[in-house]
Amino acid sequence: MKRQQFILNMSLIGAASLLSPKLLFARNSKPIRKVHIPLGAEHIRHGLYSPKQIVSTNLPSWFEVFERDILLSNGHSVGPNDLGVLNLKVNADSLSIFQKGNDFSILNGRENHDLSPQNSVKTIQTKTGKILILPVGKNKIEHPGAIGICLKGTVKVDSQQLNEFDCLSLTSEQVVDVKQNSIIILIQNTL
Amino acid sequence: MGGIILDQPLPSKGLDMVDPFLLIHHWDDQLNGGQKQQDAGVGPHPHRGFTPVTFIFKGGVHHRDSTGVESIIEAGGTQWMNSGRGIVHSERPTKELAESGGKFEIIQFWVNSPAASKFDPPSYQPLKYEDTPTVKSADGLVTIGVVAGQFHGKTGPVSGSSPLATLRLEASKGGEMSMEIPKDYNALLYVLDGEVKIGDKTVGTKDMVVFNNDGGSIDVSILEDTRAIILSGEPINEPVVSYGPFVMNSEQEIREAIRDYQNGKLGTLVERFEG
Repeated sequence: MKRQQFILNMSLIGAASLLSPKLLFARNSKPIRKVHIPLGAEHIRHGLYSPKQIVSTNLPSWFEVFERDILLSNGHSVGPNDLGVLNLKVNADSLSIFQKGNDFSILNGRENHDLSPQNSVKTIQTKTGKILILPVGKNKIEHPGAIGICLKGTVKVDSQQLNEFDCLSLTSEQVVDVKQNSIIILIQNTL
Repeated sequence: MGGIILDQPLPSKGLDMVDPFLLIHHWDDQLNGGQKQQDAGVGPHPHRGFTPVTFIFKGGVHHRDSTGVESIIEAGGTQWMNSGRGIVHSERPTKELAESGGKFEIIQFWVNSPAASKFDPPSYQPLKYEDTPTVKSADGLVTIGVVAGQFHGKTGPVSGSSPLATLRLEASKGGEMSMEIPKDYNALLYVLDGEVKIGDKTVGTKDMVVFNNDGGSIDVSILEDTRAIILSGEPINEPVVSYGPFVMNSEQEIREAIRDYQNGKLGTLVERFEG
């Protein structure tokens, strides 16, 4: 018996794929203390996955942040199940924030924690730090040196506005105003 | 480093995988030369949970990995790397090719690993052209290189994580061959260039054919000089979650792979370049 039936020719219509790492950049001009976390690349199956660290004098030495990546779920084009990845290091302990659609979560050890805002501050303890998820509204913060990362929407830190994937090293007694449908996390160094 | 333009017949719209084969990339390029090797090809990147395999057709590929392996394989050869629990590797045209230019053509395909093997130690199996067993058709016009698995009494030197047969076909116009493939294997044929007839269908350059599991042989008639690959293997039939460079059984395992890579648990590769 011969194998004669086949699905013909999946082939290559529009399937030329580009593996293209993009240059990273960080806004670090002097008067502005916020640092933008740029999108590194969207990765097809394979993909040159190798997130680059963002170097900025506006970030403390205990905190490292890497360019974001999007891993395409179907391996060839953008879709609803794509996985956004934002890697951080707190005192060399790696933490990965994942985005699927509008949902954000963080992998801490083997546990995934939902990062959606609650009615009050939610705290996640990591090996060497603490992550606070602030509720919507005005939050008076006294965590000098903590890093704030806006994951979604907009957040005002005193007079400075953070947009999506902006981060900022906080000084003491700042007011963080979290707008509706916005998410900001604060990362504290506990060592 | 600039981008790389290549053909990706798998995955494509409507076809996510042909279990256990997850991806086929065909990179066919004319390198202009004048490049340093470190600026050519694909730099260090991680993998976990499957085996990326490179068939080299033109030029040479310089493989380096985080286990300390460094290996150059030239046209006609194969680089078979089981990423297992994790490896970081780079794949670049040879120094001479990057500097002097020339033709460069490879196919990379991915073979999934069963869950039980996903955390095996990583390994690398190089195979040179002269060490690849071949089978010829009765008319002498079709030559099949047997890289892994069994085909017409020949056994490929490379061993995989699951039963399979991976083959390279080179044929001259007018050749004919009936290729025996186990009925329970999934099978596909991808044409690098040329034209063949299978059943009543004509299959040309950069076409891919996926066969039904309804028989044990594939009859091929060669209409034009042809180069192709034939990938066949027993389906693993497990959940597959694939993102970027990782292939696992669940999204949680993907997330852990990403984090483990950031933590350096998949290894580190510092490339050293001459000159």
